[in-house]
Amino acid sequence: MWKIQACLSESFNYARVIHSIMAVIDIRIELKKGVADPEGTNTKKTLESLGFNGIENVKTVKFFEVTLDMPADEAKKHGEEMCKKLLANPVIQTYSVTVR
Amino acid sequence: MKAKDVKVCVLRIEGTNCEDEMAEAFSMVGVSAEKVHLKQLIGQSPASLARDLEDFDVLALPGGFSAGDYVRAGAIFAARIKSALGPQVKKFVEAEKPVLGVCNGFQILVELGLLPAMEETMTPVPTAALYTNDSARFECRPTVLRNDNRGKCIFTSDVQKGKLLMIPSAHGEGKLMSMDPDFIDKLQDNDQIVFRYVCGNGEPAEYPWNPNGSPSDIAGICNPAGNVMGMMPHPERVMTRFTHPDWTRGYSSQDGDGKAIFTSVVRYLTK
Repeated sequence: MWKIQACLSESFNYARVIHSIMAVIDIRIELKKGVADPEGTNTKKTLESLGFNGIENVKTVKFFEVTLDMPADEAKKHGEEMCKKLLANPVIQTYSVTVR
Repeated sequence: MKAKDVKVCVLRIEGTNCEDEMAEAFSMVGVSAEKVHLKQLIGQSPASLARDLEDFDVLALPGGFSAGDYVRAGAIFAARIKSALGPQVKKFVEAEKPVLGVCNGFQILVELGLLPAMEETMTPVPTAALYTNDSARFECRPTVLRNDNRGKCIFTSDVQKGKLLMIPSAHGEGKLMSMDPDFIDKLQDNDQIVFRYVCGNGEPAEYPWNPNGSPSDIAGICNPAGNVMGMMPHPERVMTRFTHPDWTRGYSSQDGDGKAIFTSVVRYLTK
């Protein structure tokens, strides 16, 4: 009896894995042009103090990797909604969503 | 309404850390304040702890680092309020009940779209941002504020226009930003500017008197109706003379400079 159950549950899991469509989206939140980036500026200074020469600019970027159980085009739309509703403030940030 | 019947909801989630002072400040002006976790308002608490926002007369969002300041300061608290309590909060504001946000509370009100809210009560996306201080540091010191409101804001009805108040600041993200090039003029025209940072002698502020680089030295604003106010400095920390930095150097009043903001709310509700 136990064996049958195990077998059933295994095949169920297998079925789930092959039928689910996973999409991984990369969400990149950047500061808008013209918005100061104090974290980047400070990091640049510190890197220079450690002896790294020739640094033109250091920019901080926020990055989220979101795994979704849906097709790629739908996942991209969801990612954009996520940016609008939480991840980016349109006053200071821009966002881009790419599907892997 | 009598002062003792006024009920204040001091709303918190994990990471809020100024709720004790905020509740105490309201208690000190004779109203009853309760510290309420967001879950108590949205049916995610034991029934005995459940509360209804509608039963309160004032909503206060205290300072702290709600949800660890993840994503952006105040963004997660704001998103949680919006998703579970959005229509109730909008109704609360439209009923002209006072809503106060201090420090992280101000950041939450901006992320929530309740401030500056020039076009509608609660904008679906933020129309301003409280961004990293110019210094890129956490700025923590007494600051001097001038009441620049012409009379619309209900939180300064007990404060003479032009009066200077010494109220401490403690924040890393307090620079008010907008995409609108006429933002400051519009705030001014709508009488939405409440407090500006000034130097100790009342002259226009420069760093460090303006701790964050906010344009036009703005420290606090209200909505066009005047019943929602957000400010970066902490009035609840200066309720008595003893937390005033000059209290041993000739500071004469028994009250701290922050108290007038709380008495103003009581005056508004009990008039």
